[in-house]
Amino acid sequence: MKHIKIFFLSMVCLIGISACKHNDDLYINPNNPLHATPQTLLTEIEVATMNTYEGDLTRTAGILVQHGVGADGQATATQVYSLQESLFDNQWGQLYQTLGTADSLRTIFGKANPYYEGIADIMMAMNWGALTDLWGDVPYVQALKIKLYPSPMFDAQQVVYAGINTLLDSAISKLSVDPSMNVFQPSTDDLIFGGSTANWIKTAWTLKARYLNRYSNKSNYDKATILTWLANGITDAGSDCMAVHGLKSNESNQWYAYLNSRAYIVAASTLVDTMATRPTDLRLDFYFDSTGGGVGGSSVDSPTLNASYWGPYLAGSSATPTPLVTYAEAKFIEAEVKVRQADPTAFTTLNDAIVASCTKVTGGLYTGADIATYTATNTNLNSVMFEKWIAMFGQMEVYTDYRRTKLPHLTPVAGASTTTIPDRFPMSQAERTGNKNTPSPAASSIILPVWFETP
Amino acid sequence: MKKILLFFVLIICASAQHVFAQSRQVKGKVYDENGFTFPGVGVTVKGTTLGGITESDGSFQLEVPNDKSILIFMATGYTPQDVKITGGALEIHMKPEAKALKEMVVTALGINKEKRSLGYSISEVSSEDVYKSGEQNIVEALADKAPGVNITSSSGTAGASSKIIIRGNNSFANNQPLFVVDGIPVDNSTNTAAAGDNPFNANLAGVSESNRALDINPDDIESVSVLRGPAAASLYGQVGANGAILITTKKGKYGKGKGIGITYSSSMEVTTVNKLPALQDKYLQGDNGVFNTFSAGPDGLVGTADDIMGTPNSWGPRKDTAGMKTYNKYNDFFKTGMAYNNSISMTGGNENAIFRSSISNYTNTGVIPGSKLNRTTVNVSGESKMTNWLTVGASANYTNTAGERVQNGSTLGGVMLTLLRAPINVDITKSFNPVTGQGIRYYGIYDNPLFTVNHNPYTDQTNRIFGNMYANAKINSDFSINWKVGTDAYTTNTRQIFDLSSMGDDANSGLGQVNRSTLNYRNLYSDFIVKYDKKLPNKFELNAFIGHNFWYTENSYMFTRGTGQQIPNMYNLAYYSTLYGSNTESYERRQAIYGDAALSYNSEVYLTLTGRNEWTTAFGKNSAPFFFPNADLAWIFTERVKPNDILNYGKIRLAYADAGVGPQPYTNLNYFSVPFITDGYTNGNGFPYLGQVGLGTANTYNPGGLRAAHVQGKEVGLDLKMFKKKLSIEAVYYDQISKDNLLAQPVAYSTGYQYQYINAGQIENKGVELHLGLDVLKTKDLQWNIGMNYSKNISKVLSLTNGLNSMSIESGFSDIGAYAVVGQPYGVLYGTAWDRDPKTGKILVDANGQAMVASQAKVIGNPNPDYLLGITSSLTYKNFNFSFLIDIKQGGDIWNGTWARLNRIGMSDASADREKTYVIDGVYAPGTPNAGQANTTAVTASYYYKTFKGDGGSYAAENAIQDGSWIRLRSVNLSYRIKLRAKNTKSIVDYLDLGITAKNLILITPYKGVDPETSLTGAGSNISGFDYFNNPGTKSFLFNVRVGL
Repeated sequence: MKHIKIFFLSMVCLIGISACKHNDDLYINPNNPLHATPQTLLTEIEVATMNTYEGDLTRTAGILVQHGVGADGQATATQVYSLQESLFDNQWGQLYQTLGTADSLRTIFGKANPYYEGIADIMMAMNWGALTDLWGDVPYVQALKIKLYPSPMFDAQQVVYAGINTLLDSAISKLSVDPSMNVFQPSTDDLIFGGSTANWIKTAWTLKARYLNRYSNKSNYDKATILTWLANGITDAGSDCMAVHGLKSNESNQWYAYLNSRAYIVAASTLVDTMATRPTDLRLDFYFDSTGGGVGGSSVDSPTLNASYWGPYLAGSSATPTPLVTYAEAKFIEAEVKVRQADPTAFTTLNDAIVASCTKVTGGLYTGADIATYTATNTNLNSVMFEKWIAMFGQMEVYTDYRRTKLPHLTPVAGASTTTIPDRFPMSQAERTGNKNTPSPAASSIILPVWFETP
Repeated sequence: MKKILLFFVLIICASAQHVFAQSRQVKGKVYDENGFTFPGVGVTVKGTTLGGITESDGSFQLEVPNDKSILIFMATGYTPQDVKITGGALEIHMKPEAKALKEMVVTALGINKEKRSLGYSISEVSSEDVYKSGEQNIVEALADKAPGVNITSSSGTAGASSKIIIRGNNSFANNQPLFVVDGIPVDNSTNTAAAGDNPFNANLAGVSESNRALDINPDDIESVSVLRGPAAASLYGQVGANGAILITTKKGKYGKGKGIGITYSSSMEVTTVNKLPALQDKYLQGDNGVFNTFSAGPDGLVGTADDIMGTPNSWGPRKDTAGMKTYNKYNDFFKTGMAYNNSISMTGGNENAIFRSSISNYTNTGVIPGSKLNRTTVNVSGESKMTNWLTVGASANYTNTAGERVQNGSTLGGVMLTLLRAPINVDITKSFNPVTGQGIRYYGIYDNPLFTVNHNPYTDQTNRIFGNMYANAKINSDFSINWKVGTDAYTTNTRQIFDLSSMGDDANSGLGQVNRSTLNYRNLYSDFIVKYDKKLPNKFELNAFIGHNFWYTENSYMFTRGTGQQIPNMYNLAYYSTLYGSNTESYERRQAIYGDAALSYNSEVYLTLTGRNEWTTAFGKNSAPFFFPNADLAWIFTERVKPNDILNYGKIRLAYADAGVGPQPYTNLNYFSVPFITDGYTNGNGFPYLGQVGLGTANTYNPGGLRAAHVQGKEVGLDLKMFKKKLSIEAVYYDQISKDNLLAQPVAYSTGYQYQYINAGQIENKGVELHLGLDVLKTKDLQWNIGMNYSKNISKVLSLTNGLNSMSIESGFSDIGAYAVVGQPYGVLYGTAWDRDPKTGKILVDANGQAMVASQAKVIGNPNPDYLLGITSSLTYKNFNFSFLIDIKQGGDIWNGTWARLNRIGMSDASADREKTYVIDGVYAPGTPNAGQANTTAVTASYYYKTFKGDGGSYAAENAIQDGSWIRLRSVNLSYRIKLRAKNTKSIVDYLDLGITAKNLILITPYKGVDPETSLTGAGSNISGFDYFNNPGTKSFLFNVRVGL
């Protein structure tokens, strides 16, 4: 009987000595929190937004405006405008997920922390901006409400732009409250401005101007207001809103990360050859890698990898910052508005814009004074948009400008799958399969102009 | 874990000792109906558990307690006899039993049942079948051994996982059956080492990991019961939906004078690659006929600004005009693999106690240099009859499995990717520059494959223990109690090095990286069962049991990464400039009560009802339990037929069952999470970012209120034995529908979420399983039998969720994925397709004669086979045995991404035919000048291979869908047994087996790539039919020796 007792004792012990978890670990995820903080949410929203503005959307935009050539890998399809519907699923999802997180930040923490809410508003404006700029009509009013609207309706582009403006107004008012009205104030968790509400307010004004300028083909285009808003916005490069990065691989600049792992995009001769005609435009050696001895571009019609890759301006290192909203852009918007107003001083603004761009791109090594020589006679919409096309290298804004103004005159890639440069990005496959209110393929065709392109 | 091991050993030792009451010796001899001596007859002292077995001359000798006077003699197929002890030597004549022999099988929860009583499908695989297969992975050893079972090896790499699916995929979660060893579930996961910040499906790249059933030593296996489908496995409740594999290990044998038996077996296997993609050998590296290769530039260092990147393409000049030396990279890379297995076991027993212990070692160096597997197992088991009413036992197994593996799939550090793409002018054997300490590249961002082998090793080591303790008590003639507790616990440590200058690191920086991970898995399991067996009046009999189950599982995973290696050849985390760590853990506790009642009438009709009510913590606090019922009926209709020589045995059976699939823990609440932020091309951005942690809303919305998924299966079967039992037939038709599937339903991304985890959707699997066995010849010296297993499963997604017509079952590539589409089989290949003329179905071409891509992706292939057919034959002449296994798989598409890419880069065999133009068989698209007319516009070879047959430019993934059918001679085996003790009873050696097995000797397939038994994503994934630079399969010769002492 002794053996039997030992045996049963051991069986009981086997369960006893092998400790089991009890209580919450069995029911509540030990890996992810049920509750976040405003700091962690803000950091995430900023990183995701920076990533969006540097990633494949921007690379694609750069190929479409012939800054770059997709010479290998998946980029070859983009090069011939073969934009398949699954191509941007990740980005479409990331944009809305970031908007959802920003919305959570506002809902959960906004009341007690207006500064956080204000920055979240600006980030939301930028994410909505990327969505509607690239896709036209997108879910807006019913978006981000899964319980109520599992299949959100699509809203017209002008509805989204109006919403963006409201968000930015809200941001400005929230960021203008007295610091004492905040339980928490952003600091290092605000990667972009380290908690500087002044800089955020300026960014908001410049963004308001950027999005109001989308109305340039419309009858209610309000030039004076744009100039007023610009005056409140970024007025020197020191307040530029930049995507910031670090040396760790997960902090990497996405141009750098892409070109390092998939060297599929090279310089386009369209841009390289244009800039090379004015040999003193030193931005060329910063846009592209000239260490192999000069910069060469690939033809857009017959792509070759035997061309220059991106240079130190956007892809110098993992930690290279990239522009989101800048003084240079503000000056180009101002120049465009002034040209449209037939303001005789528009040429000065254009020259200022070029200088701002050159200084920014080259880190002050080159001011561009020798090319910023426009006069009243040769300053027109063509010259402004041409210079802006060069200056906004590596930003998706340039693709929006091109569609809005059809300037500069680009020749579509020969033998591509569409005969014109696509007017919008293909509707997300995931949205189509998940949302029964998604417009038909014909109503979201990539060659269908978006609202701001039309009068 | 050590403690647990010690503990088991202690118990086994303790149970082996005994003291008995006073007794006397009884002798005798047993004869059969023809008067020949009858060995192997069981002799038991009535009223005790004491007993033994008759010797080869039919004699027996027993110690019988003085107060006992009756012996029971039993042999299968014979009527048991009670014989009174007379005092002198006994002489017993056994009489054949009128009824069919009692064939016992192991059923769910380890309960032994008579096979004729079952209304559902169980297949049995014997230890000899496992041995003959020559496979060291028990999953692979089951290939073609049972109908309804589909096994796919992921590659021929040493230790690569094998996936097992029974009757199709039932769920969007795990689709593989439960694995059970001696009643205790063991984990068969295929664990993939992945960082917490890895945004991609880690199965698409990385190494071929092992499925953890590999830790089981096949030589320890006595038999395997394959529980096919929910009816057979219903008593496993929410893990029973996919069937179960019940492994019974070898034990000692009771009986006086059994002494100690020792078996030693040893084998050597010689392995080579069986099939590789055909490549061109005419054109050199370059583009547009111009040679272009990588150069490290003036500084001689790779990864610096002066590098000339070169090109991955082989669209360069002809080798005969360029006059460059060329190389055969296949010969330079692959080698002959060698595997050795040594196993020794010792068994012993007397009337009251048995034991067995074994030690084995298996070492395999694979065909891919640098790949290796080493497994050592130790197994001990013992059982003892403590009293005449109580039997106790325990077994313990320790396994150490260590692997060295190489990257495959979609990674710049993968050997197949960089090997197959290497142009013919590249000498891959020059892979390392000792002066600079860097790898030698042929294209700016590719590692040399041999550099990967030598400098980017992945090593893993698993230490595992599983075992159990049990007590069986007979309370009285009707009641008995069985209690079994067990555990399965393992730790896997992995290390992946990406050496300095390798592009395989996460940032593709060449700055060096090391990943280290530790996975801990543990379960704890207990079944407490009370049985009641009673013969009722009027030939009725009731066999019933009720029980309680406790089942606790925990997982924890720790990952660390160092990037920026500072000291060459040092891979300690201390010497990396940046460190990253992530960890996860999960816990789940299940409890269940269950019951089984089997009522039979006259051994003719059997009705069984079972039910399991189960609680799990994964559904959240205070959640409701789930009930899984089963009913099955078996009728042996031949009991109503006069005995005849044509139809000897016939059974019709019916079963209806409900088994489940449980949810992942923690899916009933919404959490914030550290998100993956990537556009899909880079590894993206993650946290901590510049010292800050970031949290976002999760991409999956958990509305809560989850239920267990139910797989409801109906099956009807017919078992026949005909022509003096020479022909046996087992035919089954089944139809099973999984309802309330737990799935991450894709939602409109504009909701801010990408998925919601809910119960939705129905998947149907119906099909036919057929097993035939034919004894062609059966004489004393010559036996020849033929067997056949046929399975056809038709999978169909009946519904997903409101309005949703298709969804990805697991993240794939952007232009090809594995989808569930309503009305289509599970896991269809979904991707970009050519635009086609609706009338003729021909491809639409544009005015340039180039094929046009349809605007929407669609179903382009079905990876599920139409049917599987395995044919075995075994011929035994005296001591020789010759057997073979032919394996036929019809249908099953594979997306051959390797082929498309090799076309595109001008490396494929076909692309050598490039000095001409091609006209695509299509019609001009609407809107072109000759709309609707047959295409006559030629395209260049460059367009034809890069795009139309490749994956560059405006291509369609459909062009790479290929038929993965095969006919293979899976194994052919010749063995010879020398029976030494039969000739000389004093011989120390009882028998000696010599054998040779050839595996995969012949493979016939239309597939244009590696062996189509391949899987990029391995056994841990629900994706089938992806081939993107997968490691190749193998063929081998295996020589074995087995000695019995």
